[in-house]
Amino acid sequence: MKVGKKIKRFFKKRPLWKPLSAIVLAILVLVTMQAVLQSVKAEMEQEAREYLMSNLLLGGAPFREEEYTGEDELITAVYRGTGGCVVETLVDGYAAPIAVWVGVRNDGHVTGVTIRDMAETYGLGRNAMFDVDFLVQFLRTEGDAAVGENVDAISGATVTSKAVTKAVNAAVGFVTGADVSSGATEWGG
Amino acid sequence: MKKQTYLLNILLAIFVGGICLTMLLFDVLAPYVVVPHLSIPLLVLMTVVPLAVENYVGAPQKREWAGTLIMGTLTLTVLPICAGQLGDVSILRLFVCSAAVFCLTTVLYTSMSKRMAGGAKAKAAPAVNALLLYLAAQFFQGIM
Repeated sequence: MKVGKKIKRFFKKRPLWKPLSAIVLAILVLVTMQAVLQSVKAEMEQEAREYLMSNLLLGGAPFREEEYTGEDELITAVYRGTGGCVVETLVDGYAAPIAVWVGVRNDGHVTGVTIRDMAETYGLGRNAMFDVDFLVQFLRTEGDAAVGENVDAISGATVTSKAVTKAVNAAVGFVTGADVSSGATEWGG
Repeated sequence: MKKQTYLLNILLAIFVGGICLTMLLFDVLAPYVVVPHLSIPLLVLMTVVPLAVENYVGAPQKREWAGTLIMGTLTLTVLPICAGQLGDVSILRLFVCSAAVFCLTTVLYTSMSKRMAGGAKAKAAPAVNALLLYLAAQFFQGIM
């Protein structure tokens, strides 16, 4: 009881200490959690990567990373599997670069597209991540995807739609050997 | 007006700490989930929620502005760093953005809340004001 009263009196006399204590407590919790979780982070990331890649290119596992030496600056990594590749691309979006992973069969058919990272506007460009109707349009395209022709853009997010299209075409270009600098093409569509 | 307290800063530390912890957990335990980046709208969201909650839980506060703004900036800068959510944003940039966002949002919201309608019929006013400020921040980022 005495200790409780002393603490109460301490905080009453020094009002600034209450928020400072809250900040320090939050820092301690976050630093401890980060230290505890650090050991499992790499393992979980690897698991998630394998899971996503095996969904983008069904039956393609195991995947091995291949060094990319092409000219296309949009391609950041290539993972070759059985019968095709999963290509990681980074393309300029409306707000920030968008990371798009594309599964492509060796004959150039797109088997899967997923957006791994983006900072587009909520309710507009960010919908590209979850809009199945939009993403499904790229399946079985062969590097010929174009917004306004065989791809319908997401309403209010034409720039994001064109950016994703550009990423998909770049990935197909890598697999089919039509790997040119797609970065030079304005908005890919 | 009542005596000076730092209720806003305590709520801010709890809310920002909670968001950072959630982002950290998603980052590690569910890496396939795309976690929102640190951005101006997110910083605004992390500021307006405690401001709205302060309106609901506490009587009107007389702010000690210097202390409130310094500690708010400190909270918005340090907690994301501790949670490893910095990404490719530099610490200086985060500090400047946090300071600008927290100061502007707090001053705007406080000035709005002084003019808010009170009483039972205006229970939603603090939340609606917070939502409007968040939407304005999204719009602001869109035109930048």
